[in-house]
This record gives sequence, C-alpha cells and structure tokens, in this order.
Amino acid sequence: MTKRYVMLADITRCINCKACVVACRAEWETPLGHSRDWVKEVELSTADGFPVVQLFPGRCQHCDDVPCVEACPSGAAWKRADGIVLVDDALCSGCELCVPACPYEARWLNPQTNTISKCTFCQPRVDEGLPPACVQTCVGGALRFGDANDPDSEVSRLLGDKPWLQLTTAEVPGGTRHYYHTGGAPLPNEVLPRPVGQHVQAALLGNVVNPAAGIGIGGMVAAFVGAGVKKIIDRRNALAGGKENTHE
Amino acid sequence: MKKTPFEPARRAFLGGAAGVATLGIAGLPSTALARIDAPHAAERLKPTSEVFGFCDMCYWRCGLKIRVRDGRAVKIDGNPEHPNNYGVVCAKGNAGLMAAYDPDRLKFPMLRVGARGEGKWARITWDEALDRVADGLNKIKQNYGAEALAMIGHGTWEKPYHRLAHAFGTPNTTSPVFGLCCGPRGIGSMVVTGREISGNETVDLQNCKYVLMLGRNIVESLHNGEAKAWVEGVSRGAKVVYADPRFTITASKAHEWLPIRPLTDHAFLLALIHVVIEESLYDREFVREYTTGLEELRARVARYTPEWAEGETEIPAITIRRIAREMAERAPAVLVYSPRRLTRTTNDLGTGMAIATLNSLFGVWDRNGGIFAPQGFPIPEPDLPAYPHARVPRADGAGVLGQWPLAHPVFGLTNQMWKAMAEQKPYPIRGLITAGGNGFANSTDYDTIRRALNNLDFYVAADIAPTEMNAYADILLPEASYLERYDDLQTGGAREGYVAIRMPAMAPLHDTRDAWSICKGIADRIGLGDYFPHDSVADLIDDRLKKAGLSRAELEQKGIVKIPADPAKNFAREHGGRSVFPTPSGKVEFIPGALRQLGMLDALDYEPQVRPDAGEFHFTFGRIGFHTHARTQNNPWLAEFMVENVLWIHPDAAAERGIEDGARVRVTDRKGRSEELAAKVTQRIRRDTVFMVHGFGHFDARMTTANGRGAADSNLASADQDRRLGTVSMGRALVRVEKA
Amino acid sequence: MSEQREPRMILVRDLWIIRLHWFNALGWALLVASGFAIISGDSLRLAPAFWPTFVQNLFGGNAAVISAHAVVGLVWLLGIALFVAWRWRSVVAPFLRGVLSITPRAIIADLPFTVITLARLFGFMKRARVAPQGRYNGAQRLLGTMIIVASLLIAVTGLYLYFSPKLFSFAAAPVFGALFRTALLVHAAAVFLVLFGLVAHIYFAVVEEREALEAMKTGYISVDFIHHHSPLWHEQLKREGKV
Repeated sequence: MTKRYVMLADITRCINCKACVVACRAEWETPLGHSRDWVKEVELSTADGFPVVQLFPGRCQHCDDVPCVEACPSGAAWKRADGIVLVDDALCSGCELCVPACPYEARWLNPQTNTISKCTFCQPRVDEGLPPACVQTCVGGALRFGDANDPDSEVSRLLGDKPWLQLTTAEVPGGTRHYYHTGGAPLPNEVLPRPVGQHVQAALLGNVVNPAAGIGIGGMVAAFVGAGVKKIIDRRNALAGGKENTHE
Repeated sequence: MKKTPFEPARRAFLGGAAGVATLGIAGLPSTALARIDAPHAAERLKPTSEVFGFCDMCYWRCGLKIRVRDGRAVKIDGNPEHPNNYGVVCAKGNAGLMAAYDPDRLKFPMLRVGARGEGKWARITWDEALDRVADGLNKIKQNYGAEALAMIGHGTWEKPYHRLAHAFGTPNTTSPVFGLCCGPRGIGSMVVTGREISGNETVDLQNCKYVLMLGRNIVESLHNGEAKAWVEGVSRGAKVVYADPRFTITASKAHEWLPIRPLTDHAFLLALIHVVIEESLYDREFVREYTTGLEELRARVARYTPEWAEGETEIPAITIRRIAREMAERAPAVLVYSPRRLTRTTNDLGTGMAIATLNSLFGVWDRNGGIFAPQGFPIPEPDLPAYPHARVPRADGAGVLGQWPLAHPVFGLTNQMWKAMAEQKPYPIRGLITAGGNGFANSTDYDTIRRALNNLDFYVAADIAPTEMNAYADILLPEASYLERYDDLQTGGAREGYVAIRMPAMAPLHDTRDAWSICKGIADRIGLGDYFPHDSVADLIDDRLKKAGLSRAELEQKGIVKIPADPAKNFAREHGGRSVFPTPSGKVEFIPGALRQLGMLDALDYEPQVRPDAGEFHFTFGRIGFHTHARTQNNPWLAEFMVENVLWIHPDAAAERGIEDGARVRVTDRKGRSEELAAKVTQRIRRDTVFMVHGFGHFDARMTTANGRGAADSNLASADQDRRLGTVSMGRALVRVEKA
Repeated sequence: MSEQREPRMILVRDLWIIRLHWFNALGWALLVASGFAIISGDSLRLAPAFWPTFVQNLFGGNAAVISAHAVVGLVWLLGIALFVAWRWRSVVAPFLRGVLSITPRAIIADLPFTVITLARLFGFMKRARVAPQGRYNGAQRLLGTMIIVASLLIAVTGLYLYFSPKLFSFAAAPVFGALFRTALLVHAAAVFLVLFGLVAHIYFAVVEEREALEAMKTGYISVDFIHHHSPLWHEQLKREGKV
C-alpha cells in the first residue's frame, strides 16, 4: 500500500527550544537568514487577562492540493505518491513563481544554490528509514512522523488517541499532511495560512493569456473549420445545382 | 438576389463552429486542473561516518553521535543510548558545530604585548607559549609560593588543569558550579538527609503526580533529559504548580502559576511545612522510621502560618493550604522541585533545607514518582603520585573551619576566590590559570574581577573562544573544541550507571591543542611530568578502561557502556528495601546536627530579604532554551534567534514610565551601575519585577556577533552572599528603569 | 466554351527560401509540441494534462524535454539567423519591405482587406470592394508583421529563459528573477499570438489557395494567380519584363 507520510506536532509538548530549527539548518546546510522550519511563539491572554503562550512548530505542510506545484512552470515543484512535496533542483530555475503561492510562506530562494528550498520531510533520510532531523532531535517529543497508512505506526496510534487540527481556513481549505494537537485550544490567527498569492506574471498568464489563447486559438480553429465545411458544402451545391448557380 | 440553397448550410456550419469552440473552451480548464505525473530523481543522502561523544555546550553533557564527511563534522545527533538525553539534542547542542567553526575562536597561541586587557596580541608558537607559561608559574612559586596560583575552570576540560594546579601545590582551584550555582541546593539537602539529587537530577519525573516548582524553569533552563522527562510526566497527567515572578514557558504548561514575590520562596516552603505538620499530612510511617526532629521542627514553624506567608509571598493562604493537601493526597509520587541555581538570598541554605524537609515529610525518597537512588559506573583513576600538601588553607575559605566550613572543599567558592584575588587576602594570589569560564559574566561585580585580574603577575588563559576575561591574559592558549579531541571519560548515572566516551570528529582546527596535551606540555616543563604520565588523553582512557576490565574499542561501538536500571536499587522502598540517609544519626535530620554543631540553626528561620522602594524593581535574570551561560551569544546559529536580550516589564509599570514595547530603556542599580537595552512590555511578569536573559552585553570586540549586543545582567545583579555558606547571592539587586 | 490552355508559370522563389520555410515550419512544430509539454503547473498550463505527462515520461523527465526544446530552438534561431545574414540583400530585405506593416498608416491601409477577407469566408461582405494588393495582401502583411515581431520576442525571451538561470544569481539580484517571470509570460503570449495567426495561414494555404501551397513546394506560380490576387505585383513584374 502507498505510504501516507504525516507530521504530527503536539504543541503541549513543544518547549520552544528551537532544536528542530538548528537540527534542520545543520542537516541541510541552510544559510543564515533563512530556515526550512520554525517555531512560532504566540502570546495571548484569557478573558480575565491571564497570560497564555502557545508554541507552533511550522514548516511546509505538504498540502494535498499543492498550490506551489500548480504554480511551477517547469515541474520542479512536485508531489510524490507518499505525499512528500519536493523540489527537483535540476528543473528549478529560481523564478520564485511558487513562493507567493505557498499559504504558509514555507518556500524561499536559496542564495547558495539559486533554487528553491523548503522542508522536504527530510525525504533523503526518510527514504533510508531515518526520521526527519527535527523529529529525531525534538526534546519535548512534540514532533512525530510516520506512515498514517500503517495501522501499527506511532502516528496512526496518536491520530486515533487525540484530536488533531490542520492549518486550514475558508480560503485555504485543502487537506495537509501536518497535524497539530493543541490540547483543545483554538488555533490562533498568527498560525493560519494566508490566501494563495501570485506574482503578477502568473496571474496574467493563468487568468488572461491562457484563457484568451484558449478562446482565440480555439475560436480560430472552430471558425476556420467552419469555413472549410462551408466551402465543401458550397462546392457540392455548385456541382449539384449545375453551372447556373455559381456565384462570382 | 436569389435565395441560395446554402443558407441552411451556413446556419449549420456557424452553429457547428460555435459548438466546437464552446467545447474547446469548456474542455480546456477541466483538463488543466489535473496534475501531471512525470518522472523525477529524488535527492540521496550523502554518506557520512560517525563517532561518539558528549556535548560541552552546557553542563548536562548529552550523549552524542557526530556525523563526519570529508574529515569535517557535519551534524550532531543524540546518542539514543545515553541516559542524559536518550537521543535528543537541543538547539545549543545542534549548534555545537558553530562553536568549532566559529570564525572568532582562538586559533593560535598569543602573547600579550600591550597593557593588560588592552587587546594587543602577538602570535607565538606553542613551544614559546608553553615555555613562557612554565616560566610564569615558576616565578609565582619562587616569589610567593605555590598557593599564590589560582585555577578557575568551567567546562569538561577543566580536569587536567585541576590536576596541574594540585600537582603544582596550590589549594586554590575552583569551579563556579558550587559557589555561584548549585551549592545551596546541595548543602541544604546534604545536611538534612545526607543525600542530594546530584547534577543528574535523580527525580522520577515521568511518574510523578504533582510537581511543585520553585522557579525551576525546567524547559528553558534546559537540560534535555530532565525536560524530556518532565514533559512526559505532564503528558501523563502530573499536576504542575509553578511559583515564579515570571510566566515562563514552563509556567505556560503548568496548571497553576503562582506569581510569587521574588526572594520569598523560603517563606512559602515554611508555611507549607507548617500546614503539613499541623494537619498531619506527612507520611507517618516514613517520618517515624527514617527521621528525627519533627517536634522541634513543629515548634520552629509554628509562627510560619499561611496567613503570615501570604504577607511575604503574595500567595494566598488558602492556596498554600490547598497545595499542601493536594500534595499529601498524591504523596509519595510528588516532588518539591528546587531551583538548580539557588544563589538568590542571604539564606539560600534555609531554602535548600526546607525543600529537602518538605520532600522528606512526603516520603518521596526511593519511591516511584519521587527521588531515586542513582547508580554510578566507577572507573578507577590512573595511578599518579600523591599531590603535595598545600601549606596554607584555601584562600576562598571553602571547607575551612571558621570561614565557610559547609562549602565544598574541591569546587570551592569562586565568588570568594575572586574577592581574595582582588583584595590579596588572606595571602597574595598573583598567578591565575583559567580553563574556559568568564568572570565578568558569571560573577556579579566587574570591579572585583578587574581588580583581581590587574593584581596578577601572570595569567594564562586556555579557552576555545575569546571572552572579556581571557582578554586580560598574558598568554592565550587556544584549545581544541569538544568535537576535535578525545577527553577523559564521562561517568555518572541516574537509573542506569554509565561510562561514555568522547571521540574526535575531526583533527583540531587551526593551531589548537586539546587540554590534556596543553597541561602535559606545561607539566613537563616545570618538573611535574610524573603527574601526566600518558602521552595522550587517549592513552589515559585506555589505561583507566583497562583497569575496569573494559576497552576503548568496546566503548567506541555504541559510545557508552551501561549498568542497567535496577528498580530494586533505584526505588528501594518500592521493592522491600530501605532508604539510606548517611547523616550522623543515620536518619533525616529535620534539625540538622551539622548546623547545630556550627551554631547555624537559625538558617532554619526565615530571613526577610530586600523590598524595592517606590519606583524600584526586583532585578531578575534567567535562561532561554536556545542560549546558555555567556558562551552562546556569539554563536551565529543561536544568535539568529536572539542576538540581544530585552527587559521584561509589566504594562502598568511601563505605562507609568512612557515605555512602549521595543523602546530602549536604561536599568540602573543602587550602586549606580547601568545597562541599556530594549523593553518587552508584557503581562508575563509581576509589576514589581523586571527580567532579562543572562549572558548578553558582551564587551569584547573579538566577539564579532555578540560584542555590544544586549545588556549584561552580571553588571546589575547583586554580589551579596549567603551568610552561612559563603555562596554568592545574586537575587537581591533593586533597580530603577527609565526610558533611555 | 472556354479554352483549356496550360497556365503560364513563373519562378517566384528559389529552393533555399523554400527550404527555410519548411525548416521554420518543422522547427515550429517541434517547438510548439515540446513547449506545451514543458509547462507543468496546473495554474500556468494551457495544454491538457495528458500531453506534458506523455512527453515528460517519454523523455524520462522534463529536464530532457527542456534540453530538447532549447536545442531545437537554438538550431531554429541559428538557421534563420544564418539565412538572414546570407541572403539579406537579395531576399530578406525585399521581403521585409514587402511584408512589414508597422506604421499606423500602413496598418490602417491593410485592415480593410483583412476584415473583408475574413467576412467573405462566412458569406458576408461578398460585394465589398477591395483595393488592389501587392505581392503580400493586407491580411498577410498584418499577420506576417505580427508573426515576425512575435518570433523575435519568442527568440529573445527563449534565450533568456534558458540561459539566465545558468548565468545570473536570481537570489543576488532579484531583477533577474523578475525578468525571468516576465519572459515566461511574454514567451507564452507571443507563441499563442503566432498560433492564432497560424490557423489562418494553414487554412488559406491548404483550403482556399492550394496553388499558393504548391508554390511553396516548387517555387513556381501561375501568372494568372499573380494577376488575380496581387495586381500591383503583376504590374511591377510586367514593368520588370518578367511577364
């Protein structure tokens, strides 16, 4: 059966130690100023003014509807059957059309490679049976990873034992492979995705040029096919109706 | 014009054309939404080799596996076998690579060529450096005697420097761990029970049902194995009551946050003891069998009612009673969790004792969910000649009758040592060896440190990185980091006993050397070569392991060899065994006999501390999970999260001063010292308290990331002392805050 | 009764021009087929999903499709550039003079013929008068000009799309990345414009004016054809003594 990889983050166990961020940086040699993952510290208060702190480990959510893959001209952004969304460096031009498409702002242009970097669920490690670097290093045990299609896996058990939320909104409703357990608290606005965006060129191409081309070229084809059909009919009529009805 | 026969034909093709066009246009979008399915090559993991080690970023010393490629360490992972961390590594540990690859680190032996502390250096060879060190040390001995040499260490590497200093004949070796940090907790527990929870925090957090924490910010003052166990305990349903003037990340996971008035923990504990005794909430069997002094204690705490404590602590009396009762219900699987650094007041000994007493009243010793008995893994030390006897007692008075008899005679009192060096009392100290550490950052009086350093004839500093303190050295010896060397074995244990190995992941970078070869190089030159008989530290550990019936090859397989956990040993009273309390009476002494002998029983009483005047604040400092001590602020991977600390201040106090979130503020203490930094206006702190993360405000230009960033808590904290232990008391500073 | 006589044929283009035309046509066919197979993202793609899926799988990945597209594109570009350089004076310059319609006056002059020709396909405007046309009629001029300009844009943007990621660091200078995105848009839009016109070009060659297609195979066309469709050219040829 195809694997269905998922990442679980139990925020009640996250301690904001940032081990996941540094482990990821070391594992993938991420240059400073960027990161494939992060922990967002959200400070709130209760109705009576009592402080609350929530900690949200974040990264690419490996969405099911993949707006980044849809935005990529070369197919460098691609989603594997097991759900992991990857960047094929051989195909990535660094055009950044995918960057505003990501509702989680998870993608960025790597100044060392000039290709897009983002969390890959540590796919090269996972393919060798190792856990993602962030999961392995997580001090509080907040991060867990595995195959949700394997009923004996830790993630399957956890998914069944507790309630898990996904970072989705009315505007970004698609399913993701990243789940959060908040202990019953609602998700704060700070961690919700922003709507899928586009560079102006992508918007023009997708919303203006392509439809215009479709209509224009399709219409031309239709028109000239029609004209051709008309010509055939005319010729037949001319042959059937004798010489007297030939028009100029 | 005639109607032609192709009229209907025209209509037909126009219609057909329209139809095709519509189908074409309609068809295109629906096929466009399907995702294409094309072949891609997935990235492969680059091959690496692996060595074992243990971390040096803080004092927890997690077990590590270090991945190596092309002769360079590329990733630090946890050793899943090591009891300190069972495979996890925090941000500091992961950032250890940048301690080795720090462009600012000390690279070559250096000789001071300007005035002391001026920052002018000349590069010299190792031979010249070690020759000069030998010369400097010999002169100290000739002119003043061996005791005029002090050695201050702060790291795994301090061991050979201790050995060198003891071989030299001085008694004056010290590490901050006792005098600046854990001393009062340890002594408090020792005098009451004869036991302590040790550096490895031998508490059964996973199975504890109720944790009362006195400002132990366990998930930010981060020791990985301990935090891991605490998170697990909380997830299993432990109730956490957390007393701290600040709402930390630990507080955010607690069930109750008690915003206790700073410096009043002892009052809170005494009131709890009062309730536990008065309402007979204690473990009757345990108290009867294993303790003495209950009645005398009852009399001593009679006046410490919850109502009285409410006045001191601002914790409601009703809450104090409830907590005592809740803990009693769940005892013995409960814990009163001490701060690790208990150097706050003039009577930290009292606080330490009260914690041990309360835990004893609940009978937590050697029970599940309580304090367990650790196992060790003793490995014989190598055979060395006996150390010469020092002619005089320690200059810091640690363990010296008439001075600080309770203080640890080996770790010493680093705060008192600096004072001795500053004042040249009780006798001259003119020579100094430091191994890591930073007196400006870990002590709380720059003036004392400067005077001490300027009194020196000769100062040799061994370290990996530049610090404000080693800027005063005559000779700088650049050390290989913990990723670049073998080191002496790590032995210890919690439930399991273990011996672990540190292996080099790569050869020493630049022109650095490991601490052992440095000390051997010095020892050989001053006639103390017999104390360093091994050619290398690898030979040393081979020697030790052979004596224990082990081999280095065996140890290098998994990085560690363990004695398995033994519940019968760890939790003796759960398995029909007995608790052992190695006090003079053989029992838990609620009224410690050691203190009675020293005439110090008044430590059992509460000593009111300072209170801020109107317009003043209690000044507090502490940790954050991704920085530690004063040694990570220059690490680029950690500075990425926080390059400057900020001053936590309550919104009401901020508003009174016109301070907005992010505004620069000036903090000034009663001695006129001041620091400037940005403000974090937050309700996560008491109105009468301010806080900053420790270790910032560096002022050494060699630290290119950290220099001039943030404020130095060590330049504002108090330099008082515990009246009976001599340990430092850093929590009593009172400051004013204004917009800068 | 009309006489059946052999129509008189004259040579109006040489073999190399013919070869260039079919070289161009082949290039376009390959480039369009591969180009539509390269654009993968669903929100950017015009072609139905099966086409890029099929071609990318055939080539073992889009990198090979892109390389093939680039190689064909470079060969196409080089071929045309070489021809332009080699036959500039004798063929290309006169051709451009005859076909380019770039001033507003010229465009306005060419529009009526274009509109009438299109309308007549559907049986409208049969009685409308048209001005006498030269070698290339108004529709051909407008379409041809558009195709030449678009092809230049396609070539320039194509070169930029292929080479800029190899030559420039988009991270160091974001303007190069912005240019890439714009080049992608312009490349696609220009291709679609050409395809739009290509439908008409193929229709007229294959359906309406087969003789013109034959002329692009053999180089010969009947004088009658010239006289009927391009009277101005016919007059010029008479002046030159070629008919």
